[in-house]
Amino acid sequence: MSRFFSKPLFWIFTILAIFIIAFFYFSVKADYADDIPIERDLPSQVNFNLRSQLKSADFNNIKSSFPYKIYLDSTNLNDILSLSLDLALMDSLSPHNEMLNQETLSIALTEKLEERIKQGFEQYNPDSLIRMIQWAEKFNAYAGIDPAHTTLFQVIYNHWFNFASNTLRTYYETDNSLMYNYKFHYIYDRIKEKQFITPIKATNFEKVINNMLRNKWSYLFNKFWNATGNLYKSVVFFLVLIIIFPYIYILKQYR
Amino acid sequence: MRIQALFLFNLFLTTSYLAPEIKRTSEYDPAFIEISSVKYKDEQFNVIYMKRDGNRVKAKYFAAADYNGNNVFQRYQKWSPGKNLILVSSGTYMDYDGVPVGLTIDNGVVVNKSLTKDFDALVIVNSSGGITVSNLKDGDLKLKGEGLDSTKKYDLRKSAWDLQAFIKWATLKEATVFQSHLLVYNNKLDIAFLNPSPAVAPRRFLAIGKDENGKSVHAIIQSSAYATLYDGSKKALDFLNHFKEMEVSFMINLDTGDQDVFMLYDRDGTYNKTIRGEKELKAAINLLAYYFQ
Repeated sequence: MSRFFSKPLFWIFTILAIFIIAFFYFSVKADYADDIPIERDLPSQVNFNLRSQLKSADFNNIKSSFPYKIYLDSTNLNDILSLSLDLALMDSLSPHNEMLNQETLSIALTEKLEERIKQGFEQYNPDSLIRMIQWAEKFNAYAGIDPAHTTLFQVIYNHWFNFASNTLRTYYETDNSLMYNYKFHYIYDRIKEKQFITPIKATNFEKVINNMLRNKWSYLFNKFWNATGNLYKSVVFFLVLIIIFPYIYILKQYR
Repeated sequence: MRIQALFLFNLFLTTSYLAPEIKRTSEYDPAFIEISSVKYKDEQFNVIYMKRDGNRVKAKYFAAADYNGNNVFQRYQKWSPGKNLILVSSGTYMDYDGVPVGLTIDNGVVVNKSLTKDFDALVIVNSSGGITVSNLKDGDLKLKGEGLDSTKKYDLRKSAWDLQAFIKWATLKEATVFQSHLLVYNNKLDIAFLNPSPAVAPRRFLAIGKDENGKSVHAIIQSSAYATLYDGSKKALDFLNHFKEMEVSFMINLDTGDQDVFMLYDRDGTYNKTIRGEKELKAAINLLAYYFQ
């Protein structure tokens, strides 16, 4: 038995088996689920009376006195008509402050809303992120057809796409193998299409392959020699030996 | 005879290939630009020290393709003839798809709208060739023009409204903006020891501040020794503070990884190989050039 372990063929097959198992492990680990959440229709309107809530608000200091909590608790965020009516109401109560009113509502629908929901995005949650994108991208269209409120709609749209980009980045930092998941790539491409590009870098292995394809051998060797530790160098040296060894062994057998 | 002809043909090929890189027709005043190679505390530093007096030394940044489809490299090639070039370097990092990381606007053209949480430096290259850097953590960016309140402090990280106002301002003013690691701010290290970039690599930085006479200077500092971002920054700041007697307002990182591009020119336009990148110019997806006018 001990003689078997000392045979080169044993080690060759062992190493090969490790490579094959690793390949299957990473292939199986990737999430290929492609059931993208269907975009929802707008639900029916909610009868929320902002006027009564604004009675106690100080319009000289509306950004601080706006009832953000109750507004987010009660309003229908999917209903663009009710949002427009809310803005119209604020403009009637505080005329000549249209931009400030838009800024106040933008705070509600960006920073304050983010404070509420960000916890739900701490773990990898692609379906929620896709639904959020579906909701936010409508505001880009609204910005094009409602010139009076373009700024508000663009702020909401940009904020949530930026949020999606940074959230995706956080997921990637936690587990960079997520980039091989279908939904991760779907979100990445959806927001990239709108010029929100998530910084995802090529892995070291991908960089090595890219440089090999470009024949950058001296650059690769330089990086290998200077940017890796002794343990890494020893492992690579060992792997190179394993690759070379079968050829030497076969040559010896034929002689 | 055949060998001689072959030799001449080879010579023609070599010179015609190398000519654009080796010799340019540009020239700059060496009183404004100092190129040096210094050993300081057992570390070799290559420095290009550029005085900004009289606004003669200018910066120009490229990150977008133009409307004719010319990419960054082609735009740079079209722009550079007739310019008294000092250097050209890769700018900020690029991502997997070859796009600059973080909010990037080139002459009012938006390249990347995503304000990344990873980089604290918002670099603004103005039309007069100057560079200012805002620390995004402080949220105190001030903007002028386009009907904006010049006293207001814009917090691009915390306020979606402010970020939108900034992008609109940059587009209308045809401003040039990119994000990078903020390594030094107000002459203090701004990078944590346990930062997310533990990899070791040769380092290249852009430091902006004041020289010993209180005059504005821009410095490109390169160390070929492999170091982490933290170690490299710390050593570079020490060198600039104590050897060059420079007070560093801010120092940002220039990519020495996948787009390690750097070309330096002597005063007569000769290509100076003292400091050079590992990659060809066309590998860069964003370029920062300095020229003399």
